[in-house]
Amino acid sequence: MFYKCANCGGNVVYNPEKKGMFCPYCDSPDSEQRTEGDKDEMVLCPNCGGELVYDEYTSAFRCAYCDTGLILTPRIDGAYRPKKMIPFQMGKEMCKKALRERFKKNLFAPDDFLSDVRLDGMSGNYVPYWLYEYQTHCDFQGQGRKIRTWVSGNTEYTETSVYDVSRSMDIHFDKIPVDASIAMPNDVMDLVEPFDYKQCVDFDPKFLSGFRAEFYNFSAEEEENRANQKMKASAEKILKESYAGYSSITTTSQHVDIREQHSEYALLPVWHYDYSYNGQDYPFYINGQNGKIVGEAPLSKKKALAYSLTAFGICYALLALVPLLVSFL
Amino acid sequence: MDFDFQKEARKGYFKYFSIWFLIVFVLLIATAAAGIRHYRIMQAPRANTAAPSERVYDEANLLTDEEEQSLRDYIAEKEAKYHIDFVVWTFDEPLSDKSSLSDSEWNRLIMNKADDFWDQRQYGYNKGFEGDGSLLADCRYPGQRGEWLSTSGSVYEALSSAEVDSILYDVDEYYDSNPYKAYKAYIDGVCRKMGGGVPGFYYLIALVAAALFTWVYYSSHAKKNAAANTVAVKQYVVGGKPANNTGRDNLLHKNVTKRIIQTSSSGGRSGGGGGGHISSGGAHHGGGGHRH
Ligand SMILES: [Zn+2]
Ligand SMILES: [Zn+2]
Repeated sequence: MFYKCANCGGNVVYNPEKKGMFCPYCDSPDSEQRTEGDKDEMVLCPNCGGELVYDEYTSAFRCAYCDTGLILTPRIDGAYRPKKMIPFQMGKEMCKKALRERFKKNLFAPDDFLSDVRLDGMSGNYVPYWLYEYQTHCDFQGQGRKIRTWVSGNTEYTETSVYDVSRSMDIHFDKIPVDASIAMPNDVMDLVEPFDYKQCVDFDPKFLSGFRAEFYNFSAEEEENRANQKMKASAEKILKESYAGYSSITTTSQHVDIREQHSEYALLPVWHYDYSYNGQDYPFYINGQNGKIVGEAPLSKKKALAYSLTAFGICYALLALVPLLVSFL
Repeated sequence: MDFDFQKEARKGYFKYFSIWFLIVFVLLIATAAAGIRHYRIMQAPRANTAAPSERVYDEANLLTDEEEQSLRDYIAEKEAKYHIDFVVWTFDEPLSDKSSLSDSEWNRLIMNKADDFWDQRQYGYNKGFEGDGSLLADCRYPGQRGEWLSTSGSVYEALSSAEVDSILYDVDEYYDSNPYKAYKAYIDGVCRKMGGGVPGFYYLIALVAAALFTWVYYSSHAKKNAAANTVAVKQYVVGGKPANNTGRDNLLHKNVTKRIIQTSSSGGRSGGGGGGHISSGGAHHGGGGHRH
C-alpha cells in the first residue's frame, strides 16, 4: 500500500516539519489517496513494478527503484496493528542540525563526518515498543540514624538519634517503554528515552509513509522482564528519596508488589545515522521527537595529531619567545 | 558529490589557527629584531672611560700576586660579557677609632666607605655616576671584620636585599679559608643574578607546560560526547508522584557524646626590607653586609 497524490500522482509522504501529509512533487498538502497493492505479501512495487527486497520484520520502507514510500498492509493489521504511536517531530534537516550542534566541538572528527553527503544517508525508523503499565504497592521498613553536632565553648557535642522508619505508598507507572526490535541495541534504546507521551496519538498508517518501520520482533511477555527491572529501579529510588533525611539507614524489609499490569503496542520515532570510518562503524540514534542523540563521535588520528602538534608548537613558541623578547628589551 | 574534503580540511585547519599563526609570526619578528639590537649593544665598546683600569685593591694583602692577576683576568672576562663593573677592595684599617662598634654602626660605616670608594673613582660600566656594577669591600681590621657588597646602576635595580644576602653567604663560605675563592664567589654570584637572558631550565619547564596544555587541549576536543541517561526517576509515574503515601518515623532512642576541642595557633612570618639608600656622593646604591 502507498499514498498517491490526487493532484499529480506522485508519492505523498508524511512531513514532520510541515506536521502533515505532503506531496513533494506538486507541493500539495493532504492530497493523499490510499492505493492498495497486493493484499498479501508484496513482491513487486505497486508504483513501478520493481522487485522488492525487505527484511523479516519490515512493515514500511522505500522502493529501491522509485523511492516510493511503501507500507506492508498485513504487517500493520490485526495483531500487528499498533495501538499508539508518536509521529516523527524532527525531519532529516532538523536532525542534521542537531548532530552538527552536538558534535561541533569534536574538532578531530573525520572531515566528512557531518557532511551532507553522509548525513543524507540517515533513515527515520518507527521502532516497535511495548509500553507497560503497573499498579504497584510499595513499602519499606528500616532503622534510620540522624546525627547532629554543635560546639559550645571548647566542647563539641554529637547527638545520635535512632528512628524506626516505615513508608507505604501506591505507585502507578504508565507507558514504561521497552523496544521490541532485534536491530536496536537495548542499552542504546534506553538512552534514547524519554519520549513525551503528550504527542502520542492513535496509530495511523499515514505517518509511516516515507519512513521505515518494523513490527514487534518479540511479544510483550518476552520483553516484560526489562520493563519490570526499570519499574523496580524507579520504585526503589522513590522509596529512597522518601527517607532521604537520615544520615544512614539500614533496611529491614522492602517490597514492591504489582497489583495490576498491562501492556500495549506502540511505534516510536528514532532516526538512525550509520557512519563508517577506517573500517569501523559508528552508529548514531536520534530521538525523532526531541532530537536527543546517542552515539560516540569518531576520531581521525591524522587530524588529532595535526591539530595537537600545532597547538603544542604555538603554545611552546609563546612560552619561549615572550621571555626571550623581554630579556632583550 | 565531488566535494574535496581534503582541501576543505586544510582550509579549515588554517582558518582555525590563523590568529595564532599571526601572533607567533609577529612575536618571532619582534624577538629577532630585539635580539639583533641586543647583540649590537653588547658589541659596543665600554662607555665609561673615566674609571681607573684597576679592579683589585688588595690593601690587606690577602691574595698572592698570581691570585690577584687571575682575579683581574676573571673580572675582565665577566665585565665584557655582562657589561657591569666588578671591584674587589680589601683593607685592614679600622672603620672607626671607637673600640667597640654596634652592628648598626658597623653597617653604616662600611656602607659609606664602600659607596664612597665606588663614587670617587667613578666606577660603572656605562657611566661614572650611578653606573652599572658592584663592589665588594672586605674589612679585615680585628674586631671589625666583615664584607660589604655595594651595588649600583643596573645591579642595584636587579638585586633584592635577599639576593645580596644570598651572594654574601656564598662569600662567607670561603671568607676565612680562601679569600681568593670568596671573591670569585662574589663575582659568580652577581653574574648569576644578572644572568641576562632566560635560564636554560626555563625552556624545559616551558616544554612540560606546553605538553600539559596540549594534553588538555587534546582531551577536551577528543571527548566522545556520549549521551547521558536523561530519564527522570519519576518519568513514568502517573501524576509525577506516588499516591496514598504514608510514613512513620518513631524515635527509639537518643544519645549525646562530648569531645574537648584542642586549639592551636600558628606563627606569623615577617617580610624583609630593601637595601636602597643614597650615598654621600648623592648616588643611589643598594647592598648589604655580613659582619664576622
Ligand atoms: Zn502531487
Ligand atoms: Zn518502485
